[in-house]
Amino acid sequence: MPTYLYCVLAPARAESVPAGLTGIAGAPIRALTATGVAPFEAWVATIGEDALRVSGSALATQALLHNEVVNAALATGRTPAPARYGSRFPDDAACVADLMQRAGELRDILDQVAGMVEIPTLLVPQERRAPPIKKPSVRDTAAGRRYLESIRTRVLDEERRRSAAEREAARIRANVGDLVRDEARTFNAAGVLSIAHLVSAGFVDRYRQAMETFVPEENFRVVIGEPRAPYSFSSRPRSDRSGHDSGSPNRNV
Amino acid sequence: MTADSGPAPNDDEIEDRQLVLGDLLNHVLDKGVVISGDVMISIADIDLLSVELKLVLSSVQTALEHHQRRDADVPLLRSRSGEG
Repeated sequence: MPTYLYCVLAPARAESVPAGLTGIAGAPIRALTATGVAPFEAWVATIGEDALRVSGSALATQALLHNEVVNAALATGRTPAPARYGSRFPDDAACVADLMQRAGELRDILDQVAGMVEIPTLLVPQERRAPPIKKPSVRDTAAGRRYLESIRTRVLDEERRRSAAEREAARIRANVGDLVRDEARTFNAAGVLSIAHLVSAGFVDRYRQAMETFVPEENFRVVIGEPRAPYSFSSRPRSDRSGHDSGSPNRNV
Repeated sequence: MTADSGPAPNDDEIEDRQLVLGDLLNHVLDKGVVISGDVMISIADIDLLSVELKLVLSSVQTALEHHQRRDADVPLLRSRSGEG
């Protein structure tokens, strides 16, 4: 039966998985440990392949279960490096072997996120309706030109919205800059700018207080989510990125 | 900003919750450590891994067809240049 990986943590001195913790398909969570130069602990479960063949709302439900297990790891006081949803291996030995191959890189990631959480801050544009693209008509001799013009208008409008969101994100960063270790930004399909801030777990209240007084200049609404495990900062170690306390806000855009 | 207001959430608050949930799902599905094990995500009963493979095969097929067309065109071009 395949081994499903939830997250990787710095090793604990004692049993760390909460008793009775289950995840996807109700499978119990257990810890695999690897010793050596860069020891680590991996939270895994044995899950049949069929249990992962889901779509739509079932996929969303499983993704949330994945996050609940990662949250349980975060609650132990050690910040986990979450694995991407769906990571599976033929068995435990293959899982540990693959993790061991990247032990150094995992160690760097765990060092970087130790004691940190990720706070999601969303910049929601008040007006999200894009200019319509005109469908060409057979009778209109200038239909092609008008069609291309409408596409150009839409592209320019999107660029304008993105620029405005970037300016607002820079203002937010300035507002909470001393509390933020790192930042990642991503636009979603709806034009919402998702900003992930890597913040010390001890600074979460200060971060919220700082954002309480923040007033967006442009036509945006600011939505702050609950702290979560550092998904945005576990893909690669800091050495691959530009700078500590980065002024490199467009990294993931 | 998300406000702690009365018992009945307004439209903005409902939308905010949906946006936060959507953002979380995006991150769980798209971010995090990628180990060299298989990552399998299925949508509508189709494994995305398989879809990716099909896209690669499709690309190769397109390239082959393009190559064959180009090869077929070469003698024609030579013939024309020979005529000219």
